[in-house]
Amino acid sequence: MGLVRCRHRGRCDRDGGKAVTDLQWLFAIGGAAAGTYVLRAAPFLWTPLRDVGRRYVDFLTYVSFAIAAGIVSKALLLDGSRLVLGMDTYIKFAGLAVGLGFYRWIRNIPLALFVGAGSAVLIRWLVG
Amino acid sequence: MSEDVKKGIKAGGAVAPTFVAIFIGVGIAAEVADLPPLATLLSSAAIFAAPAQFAMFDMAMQDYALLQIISVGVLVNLRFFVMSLTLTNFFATVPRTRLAYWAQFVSASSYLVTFFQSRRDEPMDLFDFYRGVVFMTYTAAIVGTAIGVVIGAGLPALLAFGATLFLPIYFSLLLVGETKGRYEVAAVMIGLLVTPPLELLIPGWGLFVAAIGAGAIVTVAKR
Repeated sequence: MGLVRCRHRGRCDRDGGKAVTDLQWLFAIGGAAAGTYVLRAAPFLWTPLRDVGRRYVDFLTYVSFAIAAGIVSKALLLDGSRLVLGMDTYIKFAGLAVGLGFYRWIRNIPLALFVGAGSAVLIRWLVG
Repeated sequence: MSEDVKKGIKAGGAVAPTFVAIFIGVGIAAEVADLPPLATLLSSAAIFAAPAQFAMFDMAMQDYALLQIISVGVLVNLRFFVMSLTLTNFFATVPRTRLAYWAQFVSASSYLVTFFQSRRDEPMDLFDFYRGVVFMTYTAAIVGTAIGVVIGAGLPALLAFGATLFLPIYFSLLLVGETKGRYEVAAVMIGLLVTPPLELLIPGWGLFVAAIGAGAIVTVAKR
């Protein structure tokens, strides 16, 4: 590779060209987008897969709950694929606790959401 | 615009700040990988999956072959297959031509927010609701990417921190309100506890593998 001069020092291959050219990027994006679209659309468009969705509705329901829960614990404990246990983690837990506590009291999701996130931001600002 | 689309827009608004924050990260990562700004926006518009985009940008800087980059970009998105499979149960009466277009916008948030809405005893057109959620999440993704490209790492840290909290807090609130019965609680507990260690063991796959495992274990236990 390396057909085009790259814009940034330190982001280039050994010959001073881009590691991936613009045309190659377009090809990569197009390929990944097409493959991803097939994954997204196949269950809607291919009848046998629709039947699979109907047959395994219980399994898919539990998977949905597990995905939602996993997103929560991943966002609280990980930064990308790295475990992070520091002040920010505790502040995130505090914000979550405030949000959940507020929800138990007021039963309003948008309000509890903003109170939870807002309190975490406030704590972080106070802690510095 | 139908009332159900408006409800979807309102629900999607709750996760939009996190989407903006995540896609600001995509814009910054693309800048580091020396991706042209228009191609960065195109990647968010066409792939619309931040984890896959991060993986592709990272691989591009490490001199992987183009086909490897594409393969990883697609494989990381395997979870969308399961999400669409679940959504087929809610969109059974929607014509396929419409589904062919709207399938492009399936994401963890548009799927989960629609899934949780389906569990409420509120008669509504779930497809309209989904379209409303998509309007917010997709717009947020494109706006976030553009911000990331333009301001790069210049976003105030406190703002970036706050924006990332909307998604986990929102899904926690939905889980607290919607989880019923011991089997659903079990699925939630497995997802909560198993996802982080699995994500450390198999980066990019932990969430998907933990969820499939939780679904299988709980379904077998129930039978």
